[in-house]
Amino acid sequence: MFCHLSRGVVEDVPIESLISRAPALLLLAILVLLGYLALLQLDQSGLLAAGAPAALVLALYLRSGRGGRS
Amino acid sequence: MSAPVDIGLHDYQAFLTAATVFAAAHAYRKLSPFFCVSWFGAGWIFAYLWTQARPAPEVVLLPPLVFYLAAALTKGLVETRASVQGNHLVHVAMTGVLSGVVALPLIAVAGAMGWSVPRPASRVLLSVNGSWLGGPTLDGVWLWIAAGGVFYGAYKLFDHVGLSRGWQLVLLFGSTPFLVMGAEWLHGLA
Repeated sequence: MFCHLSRGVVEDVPIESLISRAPALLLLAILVLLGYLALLQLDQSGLLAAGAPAALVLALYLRSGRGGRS
Repeated sequence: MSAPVDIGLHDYQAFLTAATVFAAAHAYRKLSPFFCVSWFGAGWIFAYLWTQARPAPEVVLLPPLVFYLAAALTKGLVETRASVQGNHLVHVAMTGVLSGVVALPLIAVAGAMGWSVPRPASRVLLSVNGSWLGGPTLDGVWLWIAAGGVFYGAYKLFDHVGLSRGWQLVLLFGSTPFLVMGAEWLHGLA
């Protein structure tokens, strides 16, 4: 299914632009949640290691030529 | 440092609910309403059957969300590389791997906070202990890789064998118990 991405959606509408970036924004939100809990609430900085692979994937995704859109 | 706001279980459940709605909106607008319904519908059934914890909202919401994010990220990463573009096996394998990567921070957080995760995993694989991964074991990551790969593999298979949408739905929803068995079998191979 993911190989039949629909084209031609009006991307200049703000909500459409936001939805286009959903995968990157959601992964970022997960990393923010991890960082907040690890550093501020639990004081366990070692937990941040769990976010390192996801942060790398997010960086690769943002650099993949679509600017985080899908 | 002290947290200005304490995040509890209900906040985590609200976060996962909002994230699922956002991901479903992405599926609805960027793919199709059929895709949105079939993915998250089958995903929730799969999660309900796959979980060994009490089927709480967070453990049922988590798997389809994680698999969806993994599949969407895979698409973004793979589509720009001509050598692997359109290769279904690469898509499925990478979605599996990214399911583990996306799930890792969430199961680490859930473990540290004492919240439920769908399935516990405590075996030590390749001598990698939990401190390397912020708490979860490599077995926990492999669990999600197996589940994500099997779920997306089945979804892709039913999508590409030329079935009508009605039959796709019937087969996808009806196969979820077998997908759980497949994920358990794959997880047990390591």
